[in-house]
Amino acid sequence: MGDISYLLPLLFVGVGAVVLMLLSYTKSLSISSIAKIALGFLVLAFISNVYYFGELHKVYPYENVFFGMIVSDTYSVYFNSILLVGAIATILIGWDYFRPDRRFTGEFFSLLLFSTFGMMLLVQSAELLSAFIALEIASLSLYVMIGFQTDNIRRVEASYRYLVLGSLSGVLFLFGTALIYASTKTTFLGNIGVELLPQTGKDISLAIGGATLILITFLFKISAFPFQNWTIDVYDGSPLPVSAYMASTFKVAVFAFMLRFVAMDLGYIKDYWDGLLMGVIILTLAYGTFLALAQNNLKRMLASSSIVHTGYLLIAFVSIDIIGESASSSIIYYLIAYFLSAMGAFGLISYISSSDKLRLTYEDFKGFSHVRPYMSAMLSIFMLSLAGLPGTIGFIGKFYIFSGAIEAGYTVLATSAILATFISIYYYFKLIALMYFYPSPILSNVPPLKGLPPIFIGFIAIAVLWGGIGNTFIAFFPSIDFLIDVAKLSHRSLFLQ
Amino acid sequence: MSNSITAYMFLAMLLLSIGFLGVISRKNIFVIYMSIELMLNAVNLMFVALSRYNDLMSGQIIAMCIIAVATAEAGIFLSLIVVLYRRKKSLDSDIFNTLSQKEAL
Amino acid sequence: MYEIIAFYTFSALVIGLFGIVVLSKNALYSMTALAGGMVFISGFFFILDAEFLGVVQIVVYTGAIMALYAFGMMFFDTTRDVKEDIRCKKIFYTLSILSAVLVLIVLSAPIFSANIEAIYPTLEGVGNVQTIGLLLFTKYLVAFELAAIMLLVAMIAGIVLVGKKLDAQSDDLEVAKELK
Repeated sequence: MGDISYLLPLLFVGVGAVVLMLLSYTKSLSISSIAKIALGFLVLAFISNVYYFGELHKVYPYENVFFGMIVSDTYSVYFNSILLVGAIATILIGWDYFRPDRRFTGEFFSLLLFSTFGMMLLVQSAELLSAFIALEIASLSLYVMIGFQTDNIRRVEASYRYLVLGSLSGVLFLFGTALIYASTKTTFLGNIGVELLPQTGKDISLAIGGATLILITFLFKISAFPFQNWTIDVYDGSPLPVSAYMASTFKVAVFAFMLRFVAMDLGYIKDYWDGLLMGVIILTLAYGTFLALAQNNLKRMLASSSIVHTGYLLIAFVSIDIIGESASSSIIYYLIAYFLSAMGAFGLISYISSSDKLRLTYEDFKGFSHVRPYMSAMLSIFMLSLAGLPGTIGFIGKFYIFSGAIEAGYTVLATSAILATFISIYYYFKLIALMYFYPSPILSNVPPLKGLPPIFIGFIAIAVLWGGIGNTFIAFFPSIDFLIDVAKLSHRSLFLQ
Repeated sequence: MSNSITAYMFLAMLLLSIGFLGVISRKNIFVIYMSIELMLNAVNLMFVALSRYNDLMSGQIIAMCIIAVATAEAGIFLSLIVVLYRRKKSLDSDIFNTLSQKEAL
Repeated sequence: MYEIIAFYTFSALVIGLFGIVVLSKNALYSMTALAGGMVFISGFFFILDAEFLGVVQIVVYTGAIMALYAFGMMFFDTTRDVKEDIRCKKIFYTLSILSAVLVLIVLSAPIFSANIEAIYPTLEGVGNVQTIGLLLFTKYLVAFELAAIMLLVAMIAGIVLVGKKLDAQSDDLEVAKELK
């Protein structure tokens, strides 16, 4: 196994995307067989990725050909696993949703793989230009995935809004890169940090400006406070499995890149951001909570609450330079927790609404537990995990972040986050209460639990519970401590030479 | 000397702000797209000027890749504009209000 | 000296043209101004010894993308409100004569250009195109390949979004029949 083994996950996904693109031309293949092929490529990529999972390494594959633009380390393997699971989950959740009569064709799966390819490259790129192009590959395919059903004007509008704002933030990223290039004469991660060391005695004000512009792009992509307005509309306008994909994987990929960039290069610049980020976090939490309270539509509520979760993640991001490794690993762990809960919630809602074109509001769930008890149970588990109740993976994730923030001395942030959590219990529990405490069911034509998606969603629900209680109650069972250890290891792998 | 890197950077930032003005103030979706293209041009100019000033070629390569990015975005913009125009028969971005903060349905 | 003059001339032109892009009420004027502005941006590239990029800017950017957009715009009939009749004949003729003179100067420029000396001498022995090629296929190979994949995605996007499927077309026909 040479260097190629480090690139195999990328190769499988990239080749899979091209193969699917060619296959979608033939009319003889049904859409479910194309979905199976896509799934096959993703699983192959996942297996070849897991081979290096948890092994401390940092390799620049084919350094004499690629000149260190692509890196493979424990960190990238960790994040690639999340991204690949996200893509696999999207296909499984949407198994019944992606049907030809909804104008989904084989090209959709090709674009899904292209977008996963772009995100994986974003995690693995060690240079700003290739990172930008990887980001563009991922977002261009996402724009099209959102607007894929061109007969539905809501989809196209969501896609157009995202496109305009995404291109604008892309320009800001490039502008920031230009300023960093002006100050350091390089765009390679690692070299930038060396140029910015205080020993060089250089004026780094240009680099600070550039890095701040890149931070703004990052805040936009993860929908933090001043740049959050697109989120709800775009999530609302996209097909549900695509909303799930965006909410869970894209945020992970962007966080992964920013974390790498900050950890490797911007150690000295990050101090200038503290005040700015504190304000952003508090406003993100407050405004996200406000939006989530105001929504009546379930999809829009989940979109708004994703803004609040961004706020939690940013708290760990701020405390990273004081408590270092544990903050970084708590971000990684929280990303997994949010990923599982959001994927499950979005997936279940898309399964419930796949029979008709209903827009699900709170009211529709009145007495839902009497019709579909298992579905209500699963939905409750996901809501509990999103709210962060003990016994679920969401609790452990929040616990690590809040205790880290207090340890790092950001008591104000921790307090406001805990406050936001308390309020969030209201809008998550409202759904549970409506499901269980109303006698007369309103939703009657919900498909029964049948086929692949419910099995998979049930699997996610078990994972959410296992992440919360598994390590406490079941001794000698592989537990989440393993994930946290690997998260710490992957943070360490960033600084290997 | 006036014809230095500062002048180029100033010019590029001026063009960038002109483009930004266009994106936020105009309603025609074609003009919004063109403003974004204009901003990309300004960034390109910045990279090439820096490349000349630092005697490094990498800035020019980056500028070339940015042209490729602009081309790809142009393709997607144009196809989305075609789709939107087919549905709405207008290029005014104000009529795209199906997704509003209020509940539409 | 010439470079300073060129810088200021081009700056004024580019700012003016880009201003028109943003401020003009008519989208067609904006587009023409954008194409013009991009040509003058390539002028900067030539001053900055980036000849190859200047050529790419004119051929690919201004030539291909803007032509595509001009086509798109005409396709949408955005010119409906453009009045093509010439209101001020004097200004029109003056501008025509001025542009003819400008073309004459541009074409005869090589005769005078022998006297121009560059402020920054170019690197000896290495051509601009050669250096770009070397860098592009060594250090920036990944970025180059990724750009190719990105363009592929854009191509699929165009086909998926705009290409009408056969069944969709028949739906439209049925709707049209019903309307009749």
